[in-house]
Amino acid sequence: MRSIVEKVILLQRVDVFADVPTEPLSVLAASADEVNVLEGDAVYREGERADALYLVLDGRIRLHQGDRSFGEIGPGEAFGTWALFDEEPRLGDATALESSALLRIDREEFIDLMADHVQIAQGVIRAVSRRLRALAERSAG
Amino acid sequence: MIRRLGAWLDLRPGEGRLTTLLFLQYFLLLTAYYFLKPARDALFLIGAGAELLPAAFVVSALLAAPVAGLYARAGRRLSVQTLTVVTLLVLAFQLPVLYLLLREPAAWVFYLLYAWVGMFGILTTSQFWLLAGELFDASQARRIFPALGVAGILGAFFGGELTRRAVVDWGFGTEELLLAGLATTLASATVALLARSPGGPPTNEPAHRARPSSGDGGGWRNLKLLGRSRLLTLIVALTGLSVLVTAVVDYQFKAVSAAAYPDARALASFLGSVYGLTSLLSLLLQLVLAGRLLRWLGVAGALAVLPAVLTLGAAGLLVAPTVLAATLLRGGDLVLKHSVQRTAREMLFLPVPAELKRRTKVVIDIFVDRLGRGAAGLLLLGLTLGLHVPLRWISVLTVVLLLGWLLLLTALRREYVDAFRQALARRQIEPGELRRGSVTGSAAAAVIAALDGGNDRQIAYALELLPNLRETDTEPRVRALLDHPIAGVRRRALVALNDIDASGALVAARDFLSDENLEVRVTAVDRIAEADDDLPATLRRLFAAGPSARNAALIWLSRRGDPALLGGFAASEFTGLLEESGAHAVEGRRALAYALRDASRPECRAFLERLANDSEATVARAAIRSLGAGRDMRRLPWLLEKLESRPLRRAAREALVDYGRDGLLALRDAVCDPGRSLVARTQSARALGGVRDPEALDALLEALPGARGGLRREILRQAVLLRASGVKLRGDRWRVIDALDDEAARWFSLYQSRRLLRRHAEGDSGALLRRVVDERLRDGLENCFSLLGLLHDPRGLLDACAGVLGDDRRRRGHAVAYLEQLLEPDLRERILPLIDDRDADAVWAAGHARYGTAIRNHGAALAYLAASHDDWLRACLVHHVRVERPEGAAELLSRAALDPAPVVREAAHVAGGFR
Repeated sequence: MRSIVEKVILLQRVDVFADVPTEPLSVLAASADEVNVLEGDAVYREGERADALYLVLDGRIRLHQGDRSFGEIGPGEAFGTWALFDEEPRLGDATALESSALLRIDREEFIDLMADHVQIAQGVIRAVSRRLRALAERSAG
Repeated sequence: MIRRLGAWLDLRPGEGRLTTLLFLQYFLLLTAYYFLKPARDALFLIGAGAELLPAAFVVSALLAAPVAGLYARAGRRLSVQTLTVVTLLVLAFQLPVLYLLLREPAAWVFYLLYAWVGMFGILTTSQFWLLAGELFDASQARRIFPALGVAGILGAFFGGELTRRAVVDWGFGTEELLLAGLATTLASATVALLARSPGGPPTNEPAHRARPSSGDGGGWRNLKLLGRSRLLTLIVALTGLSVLVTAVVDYQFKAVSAAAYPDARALASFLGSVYGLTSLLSLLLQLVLAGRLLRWLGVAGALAVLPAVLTLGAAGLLVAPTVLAATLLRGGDLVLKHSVQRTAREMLFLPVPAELKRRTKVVIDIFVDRLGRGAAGLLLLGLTLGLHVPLRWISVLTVVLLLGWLLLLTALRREYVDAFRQALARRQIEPGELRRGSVTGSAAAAVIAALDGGNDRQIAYALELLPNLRETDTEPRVRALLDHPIAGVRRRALVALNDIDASGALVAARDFLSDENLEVRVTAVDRIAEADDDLPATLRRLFAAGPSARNAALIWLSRRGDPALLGGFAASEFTGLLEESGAHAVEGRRALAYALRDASRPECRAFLERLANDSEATVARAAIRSLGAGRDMRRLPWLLEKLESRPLRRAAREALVDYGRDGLLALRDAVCDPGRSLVARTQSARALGGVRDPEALDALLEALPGARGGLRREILRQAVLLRASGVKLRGDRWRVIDALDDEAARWFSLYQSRRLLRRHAEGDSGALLRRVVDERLRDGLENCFSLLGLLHDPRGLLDACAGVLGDDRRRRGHAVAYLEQLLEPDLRERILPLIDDRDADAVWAAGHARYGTAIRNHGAALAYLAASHDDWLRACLVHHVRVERPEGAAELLSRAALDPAPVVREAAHVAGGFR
């Protein structure tokens, strides 16, 4: 089991948490669960309700829609981030390429924490703005 | 009679006293002004001569800037209510001086009097409306402000009429009207004093907050904003042109009058009569014709009435330059300007975004008005004294200017309609700010078009604006929207239909009782309850109609806040609801939890306690909030425990706020209790901040000395927010200065530690530790500014803090300059060394010199951080030491293993780790 401090070190690498002060992040870390998946296990499937963000502690995860792959996620990287902002169904599958350890941040927990810690909301808004700007620049370029 | 009047004005409980006092205050103000105005005009015209009147316009315009500056300076220090009383008293006590000066007047005295009375009118009326805006919220303003406007017109009429009588019937001298003005101004000041609410004024914020880099800013800075909107630019042009024309017309009227009445008393009497009569006609026009004119002609058309009438008047004066022609010209101006013209002009601002409007309207009202009069003065001086143009031929200039005015209106009309459409699309118009039936013509067509459009949000918004449309047949459109798939649209359509066809809405409401959306059902219950005289019987029927109607009725009851209605139900009737299962069961329990909020019967409180432990969090939260409203002291410890529960934390905090003063001691003890989790202590501090009371501020400051890290930041944040909301700090300032010294000393120690960590702390753990120290340095600065905010303008200091911590060097410079201006020397010397752009050695030396802080090596830095009372900082330090193993690590880790904070112990114990 990782300590709260170790979880915070990982969480601050995720772009949506990069601007959140570390102490409120420790509250989020305290409520995050460690999940272990075996090779070939599905973390989630296409069409399922998006209810959590995942952070890879160890191992590799493949994001795909059937045979079409979107990419691979390794240690220190996050996936399923948009689940924090809407409850739309998952757009694809996430499958473990090897036995992996993940940190799972529940959407409801996150929303509750955001309501209590304005710094989390501010940090997340900054990160979402960055994403939207990047998207806009990509579509313009 | 008074009750009827209250009903006509739609006064709500608690509004009567304040409305009466403000009515009286404004009435007396305008009475005073209309004693002074005819006296001023008569004395100037006879004493200095009508030909020099344009010079008086220029003097008035020049005097406006310094007076506005002085006023703004006073406004930074005083609340609006205090400023109102002080201004009235200062003005009142200047009147005897003017009176004495007028006994043997020099020429400059007439100019001074002319400009002074003009400033009296502008300052007192704009201040009165500022005060009224502070004392009433938007919805109250919509109901109450028209009545206050009537008070002003009545005051103007009485002032003018009394002037005539005082001079003609009672033998007053013209100068003695100043003493009558003094008496009524003092009376108005007395009423303003009475209007200060008992238990401290609700508006103890300074009238104009001093902000270093944002906010209202100076008038000139706000002038630049006018260029952002083409509509605003056109409004400025229109205002400027209308002021110019009005000033020329005023000059013509006064010059003709002065020639006809060479005696000052006779002239004052005549002017008093004209002002009084035009005020009364203006009131009648406003009550009878203004709305109709707006409806018939639209905003731009209504705005064209005044220039059209003035064109006729000016042409009349050109043909026959008599007193009658001049009076008709100026009278038409006065009557229309304060009725149709003002109403239509206010509507021009509707599509302007609220913030832009707030920041520019006063600038337009004061600066453009004064500048316009000044320009008119210069123009008239050139024409009369320079070119010797006869009075009647000045009407040619008036007619030319009026034609320009009419042309400008055509451009303005296009822009207004366009801006209205855009504002509608962006939802920038606040329905609460509109007057019923005030949206007409093209603007109304834009609202209708939005109803027919495909944008759900715009449809819902247009439905909210619908009651403000005048006599437009929208019923078929509204009926069609009752079946809309979006619940918000259905709900608003029902409300809108009720305005158009109450009986049709009642039928629709009955159908809506089984709607899938609870808010739609609650609105339906509201319509049904409104239509029925026997509420208890209606409620029984709704309860019997099934779970969906019953649940909506319970929510409706909770919002109505009438415990007597709930008293009609036996407690046993709710038992079944608790046992219910199925689609509406959770909704029912939640609705019951809200409905029991005001119930005092013991069995109802027992239900609430049961619901507060419900497995469904939404039900438990509703019950906890309702329990708070009961302020049962026995439930306080239980609620404090609920602060530890994540899903119930927020509801528990809100319930604790509802205890008000009764809960302050328990909350303060909870903040100070090291046995509680940091989250619960922080939440307790937030609850203290929710109680708007000086004792809550005391409790927060009492809890401050033992608090560190995020908890300390939260305590100070809540304290300064309380101050910003108007809560006064009690006790001596040294308590705050001691805390400031404590904070500054800790900041210097952290700063010195951070310098040493930069060289030694490596890897992920080191980076995290450095980041946490950086955050604490930032928190420390915010804490210092919060403490300063307890002693000075809190909002200004919060803005200054943002400026200092931000990246914008210019804004930072403004913030430092602001602090240098604002703070006393003892505070300046404490805060400035923390924010000066100096090199690290100089900062180190400053800390050492003032507080004796001297952290010289890495080991000392680690020891300082390890001794901190900040749990999170210690945890990050322990993690770093465990990973990097610097000298002395073993001893530090063994101490950390016994640390009282679980997060520190965990950091010391966990095996393995990241780098």
